[in-house]
Amino acid sequence: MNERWIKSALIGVQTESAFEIDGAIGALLARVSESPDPALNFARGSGVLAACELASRSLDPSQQPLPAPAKADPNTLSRSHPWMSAITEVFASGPPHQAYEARLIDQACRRLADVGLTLPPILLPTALHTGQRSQALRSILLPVLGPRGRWLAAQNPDWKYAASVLTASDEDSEMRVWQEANHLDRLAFFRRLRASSAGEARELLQASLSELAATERADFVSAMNVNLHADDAHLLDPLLKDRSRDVRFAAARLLACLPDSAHAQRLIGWVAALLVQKRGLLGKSWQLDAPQSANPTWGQSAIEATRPQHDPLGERAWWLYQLVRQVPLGWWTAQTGMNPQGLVTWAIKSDWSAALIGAWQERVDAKDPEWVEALLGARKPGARTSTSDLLALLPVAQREKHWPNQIDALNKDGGLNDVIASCAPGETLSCHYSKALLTSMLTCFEDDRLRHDYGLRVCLLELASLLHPDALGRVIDLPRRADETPAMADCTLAFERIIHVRAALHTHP
Amino acid sequence: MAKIAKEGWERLGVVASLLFQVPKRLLFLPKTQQYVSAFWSSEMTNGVPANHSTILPRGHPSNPGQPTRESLHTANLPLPHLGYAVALTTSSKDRGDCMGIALTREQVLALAPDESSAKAANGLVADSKWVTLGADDEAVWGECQGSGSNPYQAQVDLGALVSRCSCPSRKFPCKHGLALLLNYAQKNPRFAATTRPAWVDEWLASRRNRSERKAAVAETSKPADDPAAASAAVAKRESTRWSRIEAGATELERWIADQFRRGLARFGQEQRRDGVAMAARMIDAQAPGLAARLREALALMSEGAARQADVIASFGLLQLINEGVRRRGQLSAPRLADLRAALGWAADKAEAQAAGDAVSDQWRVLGQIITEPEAKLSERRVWLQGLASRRHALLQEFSYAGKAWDREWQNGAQYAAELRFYPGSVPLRAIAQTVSKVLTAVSWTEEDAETAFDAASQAFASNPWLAQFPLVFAAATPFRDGNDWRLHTAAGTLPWRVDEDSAWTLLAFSGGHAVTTMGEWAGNQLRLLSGWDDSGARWALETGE
Repeated sequence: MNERWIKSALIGVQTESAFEIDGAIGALLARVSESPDPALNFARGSGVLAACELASRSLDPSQQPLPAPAKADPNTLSRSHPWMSAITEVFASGPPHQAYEARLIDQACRRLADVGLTLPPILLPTALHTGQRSQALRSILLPVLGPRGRWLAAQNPDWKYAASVLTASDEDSEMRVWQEANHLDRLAFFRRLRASSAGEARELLQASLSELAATERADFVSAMNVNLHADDAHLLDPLLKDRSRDVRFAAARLLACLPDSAHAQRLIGWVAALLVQKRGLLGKSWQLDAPQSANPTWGQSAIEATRPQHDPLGERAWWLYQLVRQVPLGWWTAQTGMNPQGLVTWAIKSDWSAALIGAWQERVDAKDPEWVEALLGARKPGARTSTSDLLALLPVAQREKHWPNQIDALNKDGGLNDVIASCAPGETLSCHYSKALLTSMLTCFEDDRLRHDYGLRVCLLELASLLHPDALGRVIDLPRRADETPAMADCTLAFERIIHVRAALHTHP
Repeated sequence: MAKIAKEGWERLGVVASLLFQVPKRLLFLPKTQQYVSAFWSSEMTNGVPANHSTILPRGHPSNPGQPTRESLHTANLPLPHLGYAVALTTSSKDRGDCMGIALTREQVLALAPDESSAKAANGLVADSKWVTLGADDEAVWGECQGSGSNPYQAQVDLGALVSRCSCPSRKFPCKHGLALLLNYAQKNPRFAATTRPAWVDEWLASRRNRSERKAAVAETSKPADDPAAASAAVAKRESTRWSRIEAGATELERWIADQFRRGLARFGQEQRRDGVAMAARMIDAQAPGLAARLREALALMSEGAARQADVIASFGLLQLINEGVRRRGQLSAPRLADLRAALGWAADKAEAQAAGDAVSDQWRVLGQIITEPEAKLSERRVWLQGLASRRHALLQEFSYAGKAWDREWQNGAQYAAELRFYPGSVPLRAIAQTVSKVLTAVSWTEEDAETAFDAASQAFASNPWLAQFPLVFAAATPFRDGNDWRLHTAAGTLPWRVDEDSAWTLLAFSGGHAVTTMGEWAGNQLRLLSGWDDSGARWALETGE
């Protein structure tokens, strides 16, 4: 069908036209144009041409080279592998909609990475799409994509986050990541570099600081907490005067962790001035008073004189809180001679307990388990740091001492959420605790508790994804009730699915 | 079947006449006799009748051997809506009232179309919900108070367990019908024999009239004893249909000419409405194939300038069909078969089974696809190729409302079967008979791309109205070209289409390497259905297996 024919059809056929088609087709067109109606003859002719085109199609000659194929991957999970069904089920729904689904994906990828396997080709598009939608899962997905996954990512602009990750041995490629990749990829690269070569990462950041936007600078400065070293103070000190508040705070937080830094020494000096020991009838006691007025030099140490409008602390307490949160916890025990529990008890009785406790909760980390235990005893509703954040700083076995192992007891005082929120991706509860908890979890499927308690149904599924793998074999078919609601049925099926998938993934290959 | 029923009666004699309370007239309807005899055959073990008091679902502790819902449905018994057999009572004395049959609560709930209906019905069982309740040998009825001022009138034909209700629900039976039966099963004393209200009488009467009319039609549509009369009847029906088709084709021809006369550039909303109406007119003319092609052409119009040539071609091929209708008397048998297929005239399966071209071979399954051309209607196309004959075959089936397919075909597997082909210039569609799976598959040597494509071109040259032709390309590499998908072969590249998710799984499967692919070639575009590599790994459309 040539352009002239198409044009006639578009404009309208009012008269017979000669279409200059030679040969047998031209003769046939002439033969079918026997009607006095030119439009009808045109329709017949269109039929002839359409039939001829169908019979005469040819393939287009190849004009451009094909993309290079993916490299072979001997580590791909094979179809006959016992994990295949479980891994397929984990990715069946695509990007996670529930928190437990994200944990399952996390666990599945970790298991694959543990044994050096990569995702099968058929699951790669779903996995890449999951990473596209969930940034939190990218770091766990990338190692199990394998060469085919990275090849596939390069074919789709939406998946370039995975295409830009290259093997560690390729230095030129790494620099390309720093120079060309998006912010998240550069940040991930920077964290990896800080872990392996902190000084090199610092120099790289120093050279690029002026080009970075404020939010990017804040992220990179926060990432300096990996392998923090006294030498980092040279980069961080000037950032106390950065025009971005977030950058100043990030730098101040890190400098406060370097006791020999000028910043840390200034803060210790200010707080020390507020802490006095007084002699009383019962002996010496420590007393702390908040600053009476704002110090004009605080600004250079990322301390704000103006209290945020809706902060629950008063103005003086707000100043005290900002000072205390930047002072090492060790200074307090060294200065006062009290242990962490003693200090917390002392602080609770103080007029400035909210500021002190809040500041210490913000300052404490996993290296201070005694402080964490002491601060857990000082929990108050509305605290800046949640209970689960504090619990997350403790080893799992120590956390579990704070929790009953019965569902009802946990459900009563919000303990279920603490258990779930304190477990980081990849973490599970201990085997002993899991077994005890599972026994009481299973009773929920026998009575009516799941009928109306939406929160409990959700928590059960989350807990199922946190149980220790060695406790999973105890779950067999859950009882089904004739009067169960659709929500109960869904919860039962999802629970069984989670257990089944996790048990399969922890079967040794 | 009537003979078997009669023998049964003779065996049980008077006792049987007391046991079976089914109205006599139902016993003598051909399908009911078939139904009864099915029970005879299932109940007469070792010449001794089983307990006739209640017939319960398979697996019920009392009666593990009874037909299941599925087997009853498959057996095409006259009560396809009945999940389990109707329980037949022992005597009216045992029933305590004049109710026609006895049901258990479980049997009633088994009739529910879904769980929510069963749950809602339980909520309507209370006496306070029912303004009136009544029953006799044939029916049970009641008026249930709804949210409106007038109560809903629900009634159930006990002979067939068919319900009707004045509520707006589209479920059958609705919650009112179920609740009515639950009350009935529980022997609610309010079901004392009462005079049937007029609205129940009218409904039962209309059901009787309908079943009698169906029996009459069934009687007239039986093969006549006189073959000449039978074939004359067939010829008359065909002639009537051809007349309708010809009238429709003439209208369509006029409409197509009008579009070309006016110019497709001026095709607007009004012309589109006319086109949609014309497609509906083709359905009325018993030419659904014309309707489907016209709708496809209208859909192409919406895709803009890039598809103008395709629109013209579509109208042209429609016109060729119109010409074929007019000249049908001069067409050869295969060409006439092509024309009928293009018109959407269902081919005679029995004729193909009896007289179709028979090819016995070892057939490999190339690929398959399930589509939904209309709501609730599924179409499955399974493509086969014969090892010795190298012939391609299409097994095409339709299923309504999710009914299971007759058999499953596994991609890549090989089956020994005799296929009977429907007639045509390019006979592809076939019926599979005497199928058995081959356990040790034979390896195949694929044709080169050029030969395969030539075969497809020749097929379309023979029959331009072909919907699809199977194409297998060995050593083909799928790749992405901008936003399009293309397949690279030794003979050139061509575009292919599937849904986006399936396309990416195919690309992941191939990894940029050459694989063997199979698809349906529609003359201008390839729809890939399956792929496989040298290791035996496979990819399939939609499942991505």
